[in-house]
Amino acid sequence: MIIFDNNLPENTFIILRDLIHARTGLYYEQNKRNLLADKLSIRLVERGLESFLDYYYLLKYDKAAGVEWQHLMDELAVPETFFWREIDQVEAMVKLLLPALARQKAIMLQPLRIWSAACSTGEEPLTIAIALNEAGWWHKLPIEIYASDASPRAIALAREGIYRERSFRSLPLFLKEKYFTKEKQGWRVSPQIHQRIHWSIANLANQSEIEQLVAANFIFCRNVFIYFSEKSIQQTVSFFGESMKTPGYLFLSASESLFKIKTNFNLQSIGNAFVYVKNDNIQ
Amino acid sequence: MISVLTTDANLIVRSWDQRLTEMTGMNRETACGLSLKAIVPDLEARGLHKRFDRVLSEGVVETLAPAFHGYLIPCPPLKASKHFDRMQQRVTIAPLREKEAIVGTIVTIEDVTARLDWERESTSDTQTATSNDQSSTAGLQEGSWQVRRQAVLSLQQQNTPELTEDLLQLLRQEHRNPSLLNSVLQVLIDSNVDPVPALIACLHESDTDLRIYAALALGKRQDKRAIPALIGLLTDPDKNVIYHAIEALGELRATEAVEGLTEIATNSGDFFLAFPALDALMQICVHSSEGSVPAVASQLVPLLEKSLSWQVRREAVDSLAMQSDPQITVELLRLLREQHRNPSILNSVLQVLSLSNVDPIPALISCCSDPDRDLRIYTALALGERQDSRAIPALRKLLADSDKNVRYHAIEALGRLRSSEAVEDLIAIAESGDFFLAFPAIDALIQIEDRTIASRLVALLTDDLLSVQVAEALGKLGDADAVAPMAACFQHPDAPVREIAVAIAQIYNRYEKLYGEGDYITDLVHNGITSDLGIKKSIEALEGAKPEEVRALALLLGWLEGPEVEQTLARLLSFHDPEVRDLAIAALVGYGTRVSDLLIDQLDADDLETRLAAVGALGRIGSTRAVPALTSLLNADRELVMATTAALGKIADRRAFEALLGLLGHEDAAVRLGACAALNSLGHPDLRRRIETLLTDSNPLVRESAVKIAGYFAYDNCIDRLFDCTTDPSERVRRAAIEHLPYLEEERLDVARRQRVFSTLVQALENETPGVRSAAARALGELENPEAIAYLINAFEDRDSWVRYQAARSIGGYSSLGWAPPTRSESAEKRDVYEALKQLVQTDPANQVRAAAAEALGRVAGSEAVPVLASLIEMPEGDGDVARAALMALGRIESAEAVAPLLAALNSPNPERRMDALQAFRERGGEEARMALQWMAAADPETRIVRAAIDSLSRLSTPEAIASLLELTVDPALREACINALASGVSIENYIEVPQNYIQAIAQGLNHVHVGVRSAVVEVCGRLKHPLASQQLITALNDRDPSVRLAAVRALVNTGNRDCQDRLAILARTDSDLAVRRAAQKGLLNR
Repeated sequence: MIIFDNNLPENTFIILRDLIHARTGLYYEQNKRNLLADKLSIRLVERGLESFLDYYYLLKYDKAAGVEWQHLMDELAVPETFFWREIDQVEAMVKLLLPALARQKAIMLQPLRIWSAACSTGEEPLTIAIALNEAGWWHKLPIEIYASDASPRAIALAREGIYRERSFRSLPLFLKEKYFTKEKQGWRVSPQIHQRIHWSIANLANQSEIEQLVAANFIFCRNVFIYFSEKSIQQTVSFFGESMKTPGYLFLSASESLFKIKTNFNLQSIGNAFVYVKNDNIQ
Repeated sequence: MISVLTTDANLIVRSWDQRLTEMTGMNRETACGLSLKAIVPDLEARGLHKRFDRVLSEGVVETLAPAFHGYLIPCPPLKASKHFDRMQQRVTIAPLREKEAIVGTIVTIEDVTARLDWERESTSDTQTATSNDQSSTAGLQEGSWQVRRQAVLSLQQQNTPELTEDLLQLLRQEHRNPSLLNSVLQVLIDSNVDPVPALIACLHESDTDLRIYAALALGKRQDKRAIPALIGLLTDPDKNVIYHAIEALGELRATEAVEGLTEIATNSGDFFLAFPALDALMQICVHSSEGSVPAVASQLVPLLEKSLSWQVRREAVDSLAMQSDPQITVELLRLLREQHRNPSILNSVLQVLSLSNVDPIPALISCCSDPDRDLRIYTALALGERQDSRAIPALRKLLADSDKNVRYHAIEALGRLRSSEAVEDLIAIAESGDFFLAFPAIDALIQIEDRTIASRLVALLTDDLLSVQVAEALGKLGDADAVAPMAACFQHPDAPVREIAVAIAQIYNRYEKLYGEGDYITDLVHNGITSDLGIKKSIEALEGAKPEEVRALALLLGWLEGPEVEQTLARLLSFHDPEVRDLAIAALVGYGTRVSDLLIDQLDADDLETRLAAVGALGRIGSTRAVPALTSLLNADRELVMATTAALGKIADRRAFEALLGLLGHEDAAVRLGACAALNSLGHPDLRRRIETLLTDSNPLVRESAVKIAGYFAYDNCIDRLFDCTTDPSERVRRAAIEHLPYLEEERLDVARRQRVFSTLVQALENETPGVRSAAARALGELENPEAIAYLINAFEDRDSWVRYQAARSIGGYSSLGWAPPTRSESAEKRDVYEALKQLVQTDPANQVRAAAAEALGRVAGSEAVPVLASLIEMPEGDGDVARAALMALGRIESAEAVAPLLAALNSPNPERRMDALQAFRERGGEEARMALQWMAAADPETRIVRAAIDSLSRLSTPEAIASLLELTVDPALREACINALASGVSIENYIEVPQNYIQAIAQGLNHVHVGVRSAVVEVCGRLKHPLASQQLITALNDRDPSVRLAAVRALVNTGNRDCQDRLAILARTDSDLAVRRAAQKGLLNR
C-alpha cells in the first residue's frame, strides 16, 4: 500500500480549499484543514497519488475530472438525515400554504413544483410525498416533487429506496407501517410514493446543473448552508430568488438563517415554522 | 511600476527583470553577466559607484533622488516627454545578503518621468496664464474643466478692478450655468482685487439666485464690511437667501448678528433656518470665547430649556458642547439644579456636560454635596460618564451618602471609572449584605478588573442572593485560588452549580491558554468535588442548562469519577453540540477499559454521530472486549464501517481478521482502504498466506487490495505473483502492482529480479494504458536508479499529460537523492535534463506539467534555473498554478540570485502571488525572508497575508525574526497574533538544543523604548514557563512603567517562581503604583 504524505501543507490547503469552494460552495475554514485532509486522503490513495498537490491538479486539469468531482462530493457529503425531520415546515406547506394556493385557481394551470435541493439519501422528499398523500393533495392538485443532491452515492441510495432503522427515529409508527415494507436489507418505501419523486444529481453551486430544477414553488434547502461560505449562500439564494416561481417559498433548517444575506425573500412565521417568502408574492 | 535588478559584489548584473528589458531594450541574456559599469558608462564619472561601494561595505540602503541624479541607467522615456530626453528614475540600492555576508546589491528603479513632466507643466501653465489676461474670462466659459481651472488660476493672480466688473457681469448673465458660476465664485473668493462693494451691491439685485451667490461669495471673503448688508438679508423674502446669509454671517464670525441669529434659532419655528442659525452661533461663540467679543453662550443655554423641539435641543447641545466658555457651565449647572426633574432638559444638560470642552468637573464635584438628592444622583451619573479620575474622591465620599440611590449611582460611576482606589470600599459594600448595593458593587469590581480581590469575593459564594454574580466575577477575575472554594460549593445544597461550573471552566481555559497548566485546575476540582452530593448536583445541573453551561459541566464531569459520572458522559455522546461530545469522548477515553460496556451500549444508539463517537472512543481505549460488537458493525453504514475498521486497527485484536479480510472486495474504495490498514495493524500470522491466495482471487477489487498489502509488506512468498499482477486483465490491478514494485526491498530481490522490476516498469512506461504509464513514471522516480532518467526524459514526449507530469516530478526527485545540479561544463546527460525540463516548462500545453517541470527545474538546476523561473512568476495560466510552482522552486534555490524575483513577486498587485512569494520566502529562510515577512506583516492590506507573514516569522524564529515579531506588537491589531506566535511551541522548536538563545532573543525586547513591546515580552515570558524566561520576568520588575511591572508580578506569581520573593516584598511595600503593590502583596500571601 502506497504511503502518501498525509500532511496537507498550508499553501496547498488554500488552493484546494478555494477550488472546492468555487465548484461546490462548500467552504473549509483554516481550523478544518485536518478534516479536509482526512476526507481527501481516501481519494488520494484510491487514485494512487503522492500528494495533495497532485490531487489539486487532477481535480483542475484532468479530462475526466467530472467523475472525480462526483467521488469527492461523496466524500464531502454529510448523509445523516431521517424521515419527519423538522416536520413543522412540511406541515406549514401542506396545511396552510397549499390550501391558500389552491384557492388561487389561476396559479393551478401548471403543476406545483416542490424541489428538495439537498436531499441526501431521500428521506426529505419522501417525507414530503408522504405528508402530501396523508392530506390527500395528490388527488386534488397536480404536484411534482424533484429531489437532487451533489453526491452520486446518496442519490443511488435514494433511488434504491431502502432505509435502515435509524432513518425512522421520528416517523410515527403507523406511517412507517403504512408506507414501508420490511425486506432483508431494510425497509423499502412504497413504490407509489417513491415513484412520485424525480431524482437527479446536481451541485447547488453550479447554476447550469440546477437551472431546470429551480423553477419551483417550494424549495427545501435544509442543512446545507451550514457548510457553505457566506458568498456561496448569497449566490445560491440570489439564484433561487431570481429563478423560482411565484408564489415561491424557501425552507431552510431552523439552525440556518439568511440574516447576513441580501435576499429577495421575507422571513415569515407560518404555522409553527419559519418560511422565507419570495418578495414578488407580497402584493 | 518598479523594476528590479541584482548584482554581485563586483557589480556584475545577476538578474534583470522584464520591465528593465522594456525600458532599456537590453534583454536578460545580454544584461546578465555584464558589469553595471558597462550598462551605466558614466557610473564613476557621476560618483555613483561610491554609493554602491557604501552599500556593499556598510550594508546601508542608498537612494538616488531624481531631482539630483536624474537617472541611473540612461534610456529614453517609455512615453515621449516634453521635458526630458532620458527617463527620470528614482533608485534604491540595498544590500543583497547570503546568511551574514553581503554578496551583492538589489537595485530598484522607479520610472518617475511622467510625474516630473506633470510638475513642470503645472508650473509653466501658471506662468503662461498670467501673461494672457484677455483670454482668461473667456476661458471660464470653456467646456473643459482643465481649461477653466487654468483660467481661474490665472485670474486669481490679477489685480485689475475692471476684472471684478467683468466677473460680476458674467455672474449676472450666466449664474445658472453651474460650471461657470463655480469658476467665477472661485475667482471672486480668492482674487487680489476688491470685489466686496460690487458683491454687496449684488445683494440688492432682484434676482434671487444672484443674491444667494453674492452672499455665498461674501461669506468666503472674510471681509467685515459685508456684515450689515448680510444682517439685512435675514429678513429677505426668500428663505434660501436667508439661509445663505446666515451661513455667511457664521463664516464671518459676525458677533453683531448674534441677536438676529438667536431670534431665528429660538423663535422662528423653522428648522430649515434654525439649524444653520445655531451652527452660525456656534462659529461665533468659538470666536467669542477667544476673548475678542462678549460671550454669547449664555444666550444659547435657554434653548435647552425653552425649545420644545428635540432636534433644536440636540443642535443646541452640539453647539454648546463645542464651547469652552466657563459661563456655560454655570448656566448649565443652574439648569441642572432647577430642571433636573424634566427628563428632556436633564438629558440635554448631561449631554453637554459629557461632550463639551469646558471643564465641568469642579462644578459637578460641588454638586455632590447639594442638599437635593436627585441632583447628587445625576451628578454621580455625569461624573461616571466623564472618565476623569479627579471625580473619584468625590464619588467615594458619596459611597457614604445618606441616600441609598445616591450610593448606588456612585458605585456604578466608580465602576465606569475603573477606580482601583475604590476597590476596598466596593468589597466592603459587597460584603455588607445589602443586596441592592452589593450587586452593583460586584459589577463595578468586574469592570475595575483588579484580580487581587478574587479571594475576598470567594467568601461571598455562599451568599444565596449574590452567588450567581460572584461566580461570574470569579470567572473573569479569579485564579487557581478561587477554584477550590468554588468546587466546595458543589456540596452546598443551594449553590448555583451551573454558573460556578462556567466560572471554573473560564479559569481552566485561561490557565491552559496562558500557561499550559489547565491540569492544575483539573486537580483542584477533582480533589474538591468528592461527595456524592457534589457529583449528583453536577449531573442534575445538566437538565435545562444553556449550551455554555452544558459545555462547562461536561468539562468538569470529565475531571470527576464514579459510575454515575461515567454513565452521564456516555449519554453526552449523543448531545448535539460537537464540543460537548468531544469533551465526553476525551473523558471516557481517559477512564480506559472500565467504560467499555457503556460505550458498547452506545453502538446501538439512534444517531450515527453517537455511534461514530462510541466506535472512535473504543478504538482509542483499545478495548478488546468491544471487538465482537465492533465486528458486527462491519456491514453497517459506510461511515460507520470506515470508523470501525480504524478502531479495529487500533485495538489490533486478531478476532477481527476474517471480518476484515471480507471487506477487501468491498465496492467502496474507502472501506477497502480501511480494511487494508486495519489488517496491516493486526499483524496476523496467517496474513501472508491468505494474501498470496487472494492475489489470484476472481474479484479484481480483492486482487487490487491484496497487491497493496503484499506490496506494503513485500512478502517474499508473493513476489512472483506481484509480477504476474503487472499483466493482470484488470487495469486497476496492474496499476497497483506497478505502483508497489519499487517498494519490494532490494535485499530480498536477486539481481535478476531487480532487473525485472526495472524492465517491467520501463515496459509499462512505454506500452501500457495512460493510467499505468503514469504509475510507472512515478514508480521509476522511487527506484533511485539513475538509469531511469533517460526513460523519464523520453516520457516528456508522452501524449498523456499525467505521464509527462509524473515524469517531471520523478526527475525532480532525483536531485534530492544527491544528484548534483548540472553546470555548463558538466556531462551532456545532465545538460540534456536541464534543456528537456526547460523545454517542458516553457512549451508544454498542460499547466500541471509546466508546474511540475518548474519545480523539477529548480531542484535540478539551482541558480541556473533562476532566469527561466523568474520569467514565469507573473504568468496567469491556470490561475497562477505555474507561477506558484515557479515561486516555490525559487524559494528552494539557496543562491542569492533567487531573491530578486521573489521580492518582485512580493510587490505583485495580485494578492495570490504575494501569498505564494511569502510561502516561498518562508521555506527559504534567511535575512531577506525575515525583512520581507516583517514588511508584509506590517504593510500588506490583506489580513490573511498579514497572518501568514506573522506565522512565517515565528517559524523562522531567528533572533532577527523574533525582533521583528516584537516590533510588530506595537500595532494593537497585530499584538495578540505576534504574542501567540512567540509563545507557541512552533518558534521554540527550533531552539530545543539551546532554549536560552530563544529566550535571550525575546528578552532583548525589554530594552525597547515602547512600553507595548516590553509588556509583550513579559506576556511571552510568562507563557513560556521556563526558568530562564522567569529570570527575564524578574528583570522586568524594574521596568519604569507600572503596567509592565504589574504584568511581570502577575506572571511570576502564576508561574510559581520563588526566586523573586525578595523583590516582591520590596515592591509590595515601596512600588509607586497601587495595583503593583497589591499584586505583589497577594503574590507573597499565596506562597
